[in-house]
Amino acid sequence: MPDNIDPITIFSLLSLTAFLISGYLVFIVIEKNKKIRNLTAALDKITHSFNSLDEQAKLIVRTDLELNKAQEELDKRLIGLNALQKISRQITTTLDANEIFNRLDKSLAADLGFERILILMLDENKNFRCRLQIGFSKEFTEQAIANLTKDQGLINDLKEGRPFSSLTSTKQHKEKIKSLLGVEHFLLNPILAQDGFTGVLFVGNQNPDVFITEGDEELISILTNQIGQSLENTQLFEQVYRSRQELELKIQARTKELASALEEVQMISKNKSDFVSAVSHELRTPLTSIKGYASILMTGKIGDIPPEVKERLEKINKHSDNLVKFINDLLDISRIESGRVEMKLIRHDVASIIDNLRDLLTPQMKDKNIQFTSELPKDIPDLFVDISQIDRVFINLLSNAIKFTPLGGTITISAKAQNDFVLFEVTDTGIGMKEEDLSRLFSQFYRVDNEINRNVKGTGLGLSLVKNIVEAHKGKIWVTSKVNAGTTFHFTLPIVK
Amino acid sequence: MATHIGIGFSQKSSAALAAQEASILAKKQAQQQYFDLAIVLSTAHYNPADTLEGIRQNFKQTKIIGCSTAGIILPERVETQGIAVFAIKSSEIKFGVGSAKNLTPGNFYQSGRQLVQNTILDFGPNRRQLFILLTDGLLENNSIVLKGIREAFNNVVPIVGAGSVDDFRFRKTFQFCQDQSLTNSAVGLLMGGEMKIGFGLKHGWKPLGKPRIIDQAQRHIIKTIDGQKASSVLEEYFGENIRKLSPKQLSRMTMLYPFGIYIENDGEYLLRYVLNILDDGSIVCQGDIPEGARVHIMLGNKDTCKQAAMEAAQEVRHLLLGKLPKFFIVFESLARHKLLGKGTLLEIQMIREVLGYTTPMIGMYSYGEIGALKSIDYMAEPYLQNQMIMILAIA
Repeated sequence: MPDNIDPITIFSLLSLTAFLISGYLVFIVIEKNKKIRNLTAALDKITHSFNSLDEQAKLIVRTDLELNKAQEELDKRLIGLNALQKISRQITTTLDANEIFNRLDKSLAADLGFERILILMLDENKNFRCRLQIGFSKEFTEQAIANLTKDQGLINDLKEGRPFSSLTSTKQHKEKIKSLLGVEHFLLNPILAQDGFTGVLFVGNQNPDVFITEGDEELISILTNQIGQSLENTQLFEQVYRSRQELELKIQARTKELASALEEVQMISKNKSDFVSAVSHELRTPLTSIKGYASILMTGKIGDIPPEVKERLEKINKHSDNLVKFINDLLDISRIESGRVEMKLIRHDVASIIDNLRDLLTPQMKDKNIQFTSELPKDIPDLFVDISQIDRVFINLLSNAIKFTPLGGTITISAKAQNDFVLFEVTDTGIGMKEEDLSRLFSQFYRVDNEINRNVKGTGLGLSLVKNIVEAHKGKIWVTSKVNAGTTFHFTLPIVK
Repeated sequence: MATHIGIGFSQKSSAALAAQEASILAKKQAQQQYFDLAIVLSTAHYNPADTLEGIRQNFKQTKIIGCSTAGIILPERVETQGIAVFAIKSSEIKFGVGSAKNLTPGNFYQSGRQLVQNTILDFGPNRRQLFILLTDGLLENNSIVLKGIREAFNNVVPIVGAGSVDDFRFRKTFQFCQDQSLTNSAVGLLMGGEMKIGFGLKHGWKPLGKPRIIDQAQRHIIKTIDGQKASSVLEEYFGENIRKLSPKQLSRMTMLYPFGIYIENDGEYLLRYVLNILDDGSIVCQGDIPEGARVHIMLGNKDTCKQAAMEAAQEVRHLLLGKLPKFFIVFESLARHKLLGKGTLLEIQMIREVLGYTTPMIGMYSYGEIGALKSIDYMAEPYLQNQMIMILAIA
């Protein structure tokens, strides 16, 4: 330091320096404080943000908690509904009351979310009988039944359809049922059918943490109704089944009676056929002799006979012929009915059958100026028939047609293939018949009451024989007719396969 | 050199009949008569003794291991009732099974060591590559059992596994080992041989709210958080009524909102269920809690869960160098099942898409999953974890 420097100057310089340093230090301190204030403010902001964030987080957690709770309840209800649907399907597909309870097994109970299930049903003496017990011992169940039976107040409430639940019932009821069935959380529902109270369904959980929810109440209420309905269905089914069985027994007895009557009728019919057959045979033998002797007498070989006698003998001969024909028809019907006639089925051409008939019957038709036409398709298949019998069918039907068709009328035969048969139709423009005659037309000895029949003698066996012959060929015959408009006989005959 | 696998499943109501049917179906599927190992998973509906008897009738000489579960994961469905048998016959892989019975807080550590000794006895002098632990999920602190196991193996064998569970009622679970149906026990399966192991572990839960510090903790009990009683954090989030809940109700509720403890070394959150709140406000968790750790309330949703499952499957594939596994086993937290609901099946399909639709698989819903925090570090310290999906694949 130079010697000539004034101490005052030195002091002043030092003071200035000190002042400057102090000022700088003050400035630094101020700046630091400012920074600290800023940092504190920032920290406050961060803390505030964290706290806000935390508050938001708490809100999120609580909302999430609520959502999860709702989801859990929803899932539980969904599982319960699925289980209910499964149970419903199982119990409604049986009509056996025992099977309904068998199908409510342990796994279904678990699906419903209950550890314990008890179903008590009233028996015919109105006593409770256990039909299903899950999670209860036999002894406990017996004791529970005894206690429940004693509590008439509870039973009366149940009879009125009132359910009980650990969620909504009164404290008194809750305590009572808890002590009765030994579980913390429960539902006790009456099972009601059309006849009223039939039993109770009890479900419960011993676990104090598993509460009953409103969803459980609804679920069990539906299940109880379902069980009641199913049991009612089984009762109805049982009633219907019993009625049906009684009816079946009656039908069986009646059928037996009818079978016996039929057997009797068949026996009578056979006896009749046998009788007719025997009588006819017995009649035919003397008739042959009568006819033979009458013929011999008529030849005059035994001696001349006066004309009056001859005339009588001719009548004997003619009536004998009629009688022989009558007896033959009777014998034929009898044989066909009893199946003693064997049909000799051979292939035959329809056109030639009709042509033969035309030749045979033309003289008679000419006498009455009746026009005979046939309508046969070219491709009509051959028949598979006994021709001697079928000729009789056609001759009978055509003879009748000629008989009942007035002068100048028309007779038509038509035929067409129909599956395994040929359908023939013999149509005339005759006097026709009334509706009431048609159903009896094919009966033996039945003759329609009209003027022609009254004047011309007949046996009433022709159409009966026709029917028997057609049916012996597995065919069918029927008739349609209108008074004064004509008649058509329809019948089917088998073709060659 | 071949590995044959058959999976059988039955839902018959009788345990014996269901076990028999599942066994027969497994044998039929593999088209083999004799098997080295049968993994049996059964829901809590079934009597465990009858189940074992039914299995044993069909697998006379086979080693049996298994446990109860809240649900069985099958390739095409997830069932909450039934018995499944996963039968393996292999000339490449060796198996050893063992058990430690009647576990109590006083013998957890020793039981873990005992379990390893018993399993090694059955396994013989083969190369030890993997230990699968199935322990009673309702035990208070399986972390100590796990510690005993880890130390018995001198930290050189990777450990995975799960806690057995019942039908979500937390009453009683059971474990199977050979012809014994056990409870309060742990069973183990030691594997080794010509095999490659792939792990995938993920949870998908995200931290929520501000981080807090665990001031005081003793094993699985958190005493104070941020200078307050630990229970106050739960009260803040869930309301004061939380203290009125029973332990079971509490577990059910907090299962979806576990504590997430940040593990600095791994950079991952270790999740913990809350089992109970003690009178002094301490919180009892399912596994050990490190003192001084940062903790969050965690939240997950269906999408984050499914995404986590997909990532776990991809990590397995990555560890297997892109190869498809011979089979894989899924241990999935019950909480995830609860959260995903019907989406569980979709989650399984996402995993199968990565690991092969034809690869045989089985899985179970568990109460506590065991494994390292990161798939890539599967040889690292295993933890008892919660909310996890763990995929174990063998190639």
